[in-house]
Amino acid sequence: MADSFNEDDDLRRLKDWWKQNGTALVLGVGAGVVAIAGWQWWQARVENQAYSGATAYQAFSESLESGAAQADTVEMLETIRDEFGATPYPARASLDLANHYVEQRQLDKAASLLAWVAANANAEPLRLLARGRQARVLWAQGEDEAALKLLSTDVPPAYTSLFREIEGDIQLSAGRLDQARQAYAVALDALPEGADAAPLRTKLESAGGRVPSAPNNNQEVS
Amino acid sequence: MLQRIRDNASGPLAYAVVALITVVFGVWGIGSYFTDSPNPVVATVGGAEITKYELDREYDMRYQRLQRLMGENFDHELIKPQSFKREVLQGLIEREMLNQFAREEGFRTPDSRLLKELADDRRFQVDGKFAPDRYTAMLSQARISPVQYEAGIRGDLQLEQVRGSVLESAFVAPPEARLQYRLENQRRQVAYLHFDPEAYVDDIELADDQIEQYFAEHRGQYMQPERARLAYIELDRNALEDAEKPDEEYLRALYEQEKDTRFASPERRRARHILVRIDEDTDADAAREKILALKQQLDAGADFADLARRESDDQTTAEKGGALDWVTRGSMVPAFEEKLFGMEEGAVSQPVKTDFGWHIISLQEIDPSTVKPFSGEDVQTELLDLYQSQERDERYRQLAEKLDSLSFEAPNSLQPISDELGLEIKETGWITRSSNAEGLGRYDAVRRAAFSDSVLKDGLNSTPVQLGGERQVVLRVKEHQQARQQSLEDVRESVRADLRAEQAAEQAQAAAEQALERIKGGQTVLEAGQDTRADVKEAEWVTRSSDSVPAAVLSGAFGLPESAADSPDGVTLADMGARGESVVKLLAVEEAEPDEVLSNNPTLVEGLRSRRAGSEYAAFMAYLRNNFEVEIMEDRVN
Repeated sequence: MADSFNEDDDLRRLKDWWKQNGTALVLGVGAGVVAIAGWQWWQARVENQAYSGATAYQAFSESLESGAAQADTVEMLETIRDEFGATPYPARASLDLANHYVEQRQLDKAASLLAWVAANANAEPLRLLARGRQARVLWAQGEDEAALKLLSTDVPPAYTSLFREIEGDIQLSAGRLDQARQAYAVALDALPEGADAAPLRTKLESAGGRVPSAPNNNQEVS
Repeated sequence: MLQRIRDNASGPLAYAVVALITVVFGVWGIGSYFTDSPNPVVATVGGAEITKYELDREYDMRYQRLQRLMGENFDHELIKPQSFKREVLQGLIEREMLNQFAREEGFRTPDSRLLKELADDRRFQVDGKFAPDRYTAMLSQARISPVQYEAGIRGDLQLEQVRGSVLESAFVAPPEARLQYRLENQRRQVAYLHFDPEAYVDDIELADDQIEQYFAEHRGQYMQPERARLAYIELDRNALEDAEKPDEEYLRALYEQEKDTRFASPERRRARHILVRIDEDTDADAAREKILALKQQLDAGADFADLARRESDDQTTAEKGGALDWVTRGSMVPAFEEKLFGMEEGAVSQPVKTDFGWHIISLQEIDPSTVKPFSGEDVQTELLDLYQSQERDERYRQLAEKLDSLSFEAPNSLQPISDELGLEIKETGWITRSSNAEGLGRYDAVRRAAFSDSVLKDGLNSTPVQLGGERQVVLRVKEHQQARQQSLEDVRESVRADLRAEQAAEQAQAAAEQALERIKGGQTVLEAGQDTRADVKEAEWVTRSSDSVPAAVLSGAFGLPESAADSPDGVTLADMGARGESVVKLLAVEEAEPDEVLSNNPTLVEGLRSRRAGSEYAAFMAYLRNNFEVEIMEDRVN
């Protein structure tokens, strides 16, 4: 074979190259494998966490509904917060418990739970939801100023209507018709798709506002 | 060798090969960019795709649900397919957004929740308990694998969790309830003048030239819409005549055929039983020994009922001494039934094993099968009715088949169909495309057929039009008129009525405006109403939900600011549409003072709670909509 000399030559060059770069290559591939395995391990862990969080929440929810063991229920919430912080369940459980406290007229406890969600929930829409509710509880506690201040911070357009309506409610209850009217008008203007406009119109009217004429309600079934 | 390849890997041949490879790899599959895929994507939501197939399936489901819901009132023309499809698509998009939100945030359905959901599903229950056999059987019947089904349920529950996060924890705080109470119960006292055009219409005199002028200005309103008169042949199952009475032999054959299902009551047996249950917790051998011991006691003369009461694991019957209700074949587990129906009256069986465990049966009584005799009067009547009904079905089916083929074979006239089938040709009155017709014209399907191209333009017979399951018609257009302008002579009376109504409305309006000015100038409602044709209501207390005054008056009364009460500014016009105009004056406002009890009544709190939850959910969904990238392929939606 006339090519044999050439092939030996190739082999030698390959060996040289391996000497120079072999370690780096092995390390590189190794690092890649470790990274992939690590990622998958992490994914599985996150998934596991989510399921465990869901199970823990399920138990919490049943305990809350049975209404029997108050202290236990609160303890379960603590556990969910400590162990499943990456899941939505701390927020969910706090919202449920806050609702329970409002019904029991334990407004202090409700307010602090809602404040926690407003600051710590992972999902922004749930933080905003809690902020609106916190403002309403503050109002119920007679702290109108604090409530209005909470509502006056920046808010994404989707939540404008909800927040302005609460503001209007506070102002109307306090007899400040001008402010109520302004707030309701903005709320009506920013009303998102799928929300019911009729109650807002009524409130705007009773704050002395002129209600823009109602849109045609007899749309065909479509 | 390598060298040779290297040497030869140049020149025209090599280029040709490379070119070929390039073309094959580069262009392969490019066709799919140009031809329509059978299942194109209609929308993408944050990277996920919604296909045409999914959209169409959801559309069909929603459409059918609507159809079921509305029953007889369902009208195809009420549903605009395009906008309905948009709505369905919007629903799918929102669902997908919720799905992705649930996944990314880490909402999960744990096994315990899934199991609870399955266990609570009535469809999978036997005697109020989850039955695994039934579950697998029902799924395999529907051709869904359990894994698939359970994944679907998990997904649904995840979605519910997201919705529930917003909706389930919504509350009503005390001051909100008080505010709502005040809004709902504030009372206002109003006085109003109602100017009804009816009060003016009789005095309006119209000269001919006024009518002519009005007609000239409003000619478009007096169009005769396009219309048609139809000739048709109707096949109605219930109008078919009775067949001749069959001979007895035939009836007897029919009797034999129907005897078991119609004229016989099956054999029934009444028994007692003792059960030794076998389940995961019991030892099979112990159960076997126990049943044998019980059998020995019975053989030794123990009373069956007593023993059942003490020892049977079937608690519902044990209390009654093991007594079961009357049973017929087919209602018990097979092994039990086989034994029961093989026993003599009064006998006690050997132990029998079923899925429930070991049984001993004592047969108490046999009620033998009875058959009503052929000669009985009610049997004869029923047989004749059955015969006639079968005959009629058969003739209807045959005639329908002929009607179908004849309407197609002889499309230019109804006469051959009439001759062949012995059905007379009937005619309708005028029918328009819209639905306000009498008789045959009230059916959508008829109007659709009558104004279809082949019937209207080509002058052919329609295909048979189904009017319910037992009636159909074939029709053709006998006379057709395009939409046309009517002459004044045709419509003089309705022009006169329209013009009078318009003038009456104008006069009522003018009178109302005058009264408004007088009240603003300081007059009372009573004074302003004097010497007018208005109905006067002097003083009426109302809340927002009152129905003692017209809705427009109510809305006018609550639309005025509280501060305007009993001042000259506290007056407004209320448009009552065809019923004219009212002048509404607000006399007084009375606040409702809520106490703890009043503002906490459940209806008020529940209504307020669900309304708050609704607004919060709407905000939440709006947030998702604003934060997801959604693209809709408009041209593929329909």
